[in-house]
Amino acid sequence: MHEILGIPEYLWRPILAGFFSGIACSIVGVFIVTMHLSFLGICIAHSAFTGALFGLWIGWNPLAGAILFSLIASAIVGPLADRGELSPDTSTGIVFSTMLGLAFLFLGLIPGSKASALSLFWGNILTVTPLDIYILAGIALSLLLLFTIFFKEIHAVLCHRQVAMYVGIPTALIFYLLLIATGLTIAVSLQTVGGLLIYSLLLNPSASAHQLTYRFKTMLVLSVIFGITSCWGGIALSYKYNLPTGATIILISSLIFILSAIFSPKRQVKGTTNA
Amino acid sequence: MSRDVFSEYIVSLKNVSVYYNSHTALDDITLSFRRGEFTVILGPNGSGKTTLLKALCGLCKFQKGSVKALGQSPSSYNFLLRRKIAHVAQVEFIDPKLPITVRESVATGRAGVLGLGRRLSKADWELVDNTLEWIGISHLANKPLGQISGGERQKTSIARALVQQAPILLLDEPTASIDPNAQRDILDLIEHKINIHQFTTLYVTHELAMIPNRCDRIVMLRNGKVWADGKPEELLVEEKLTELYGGNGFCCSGKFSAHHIHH
Repeated sequence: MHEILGIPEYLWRPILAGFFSGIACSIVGVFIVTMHLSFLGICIAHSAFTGALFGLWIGWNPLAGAILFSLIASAIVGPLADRGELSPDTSTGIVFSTMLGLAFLFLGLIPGSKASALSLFWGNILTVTPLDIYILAGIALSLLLLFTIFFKEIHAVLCHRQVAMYVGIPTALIFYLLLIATGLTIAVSLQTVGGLLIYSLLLNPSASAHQLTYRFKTMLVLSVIFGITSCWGGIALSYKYNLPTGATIILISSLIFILSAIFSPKRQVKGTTNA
Repeated sequence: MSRDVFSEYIVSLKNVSVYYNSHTALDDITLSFRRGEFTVILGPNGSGKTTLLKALCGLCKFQKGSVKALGQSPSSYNFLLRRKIAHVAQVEFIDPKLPITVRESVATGRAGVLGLGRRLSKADWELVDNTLEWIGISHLANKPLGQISGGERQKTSIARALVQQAPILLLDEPTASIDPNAQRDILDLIEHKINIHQFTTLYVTHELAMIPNRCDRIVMLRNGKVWADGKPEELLVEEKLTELYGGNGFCCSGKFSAHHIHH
């Protein structure tokens, strides 16, 4: 078996995919966790899944459908939550359930075998193509660039949107930019990481980092490290013990979260309403 | 420059009305404020003081009338104008686990002014540190914002507004959560900065004891309307104040200094 740096050649693609997915999902996860938008992340992930099924049904590339639907979900949920006419949870819940209904509809409408559709649930990081890796790398690097250039604006919007608005930061622009980035990251990661695994890669690394620090920069770095560790650790475990890769990635990210929660300096900190 | 020489109106509201469903928060308000003028907006709870400030910086929609600040119309999208209007809002709940320190929160005041994508310079950070020192919270600089008291958060908000160095300063009960013993000190510090920088200041309070020592004008609001507008010596009289507050025995509270009332 041909090896590079002692690792079988066929494992390099999943390793690279895990690396870039780990970066992209963890960065977007920081946005979701800090702004308490976990449900929105789940909603967009379902929308991407629905879009991919739609793509399969009408004969498009599933990625195009996933991107289209995740962007549509972001475009609907963001303004609904922003305008305050409905609570963010309610508006996200309505879009979420509608997308779920559409997913089942498209699943039923896809002719012939449903195997390719069902594989979107858990993805397959072991069968990623070079094109998938290029797209993931593009998204990961774009996010790194976005967070580097607009660090102070993103930090302000994520931590205190109202104050950011008072001081003249274009909060709507930053918020929607992050929402679109979330939609794209989820859509692009869907085929490789899978519709179910994506939640854990979005939430667990950033939630773990959030437990460990009050420094935003440190939170971003830790989140990325946890994301990559989960992916690489999961791939290694799966390879060594012949286990499903998606499951091992999820379980490692959950283990990191449990350990972070146990050793969190924030464990004793409770919410108080300051008068 | 003396504050009694005002050159021009730089903030104005014309026939502005704001409704929240069936409630009228502001009712046909017309007011103008001159450059460098220090105005105290006085009125009981629910008289429309906070809504007035929000309308001025575009943070609430008005159904009627027009607002101009520095020649522009404020709106939720006019972030360029908001960089020129510093706003100290009432203290709100924030997540105690948020990854932001007091120093970073104050630095947010420079973030808008600098513009998108531009980093804070050494001079910006020095301004932030000096302001923290000046307002007496430099020892909290590296503490998480969510873990300081309401009063300390209010001082943080004041520091953030001051580092913004905007020509217009809106203060919405800026000392409300601060320890009563320290309220007057903070107020004096704010007044000192206002005198130095000649900010056009709108200072909202419902507490008579918190009227600054030196202000140029008093605007009294009641039920969303301008009830009185004039010089402090004309309006800060027992009879007017009793009427404004509906005879609630304001001067018996012990909070209001005798020097404010002109008998």
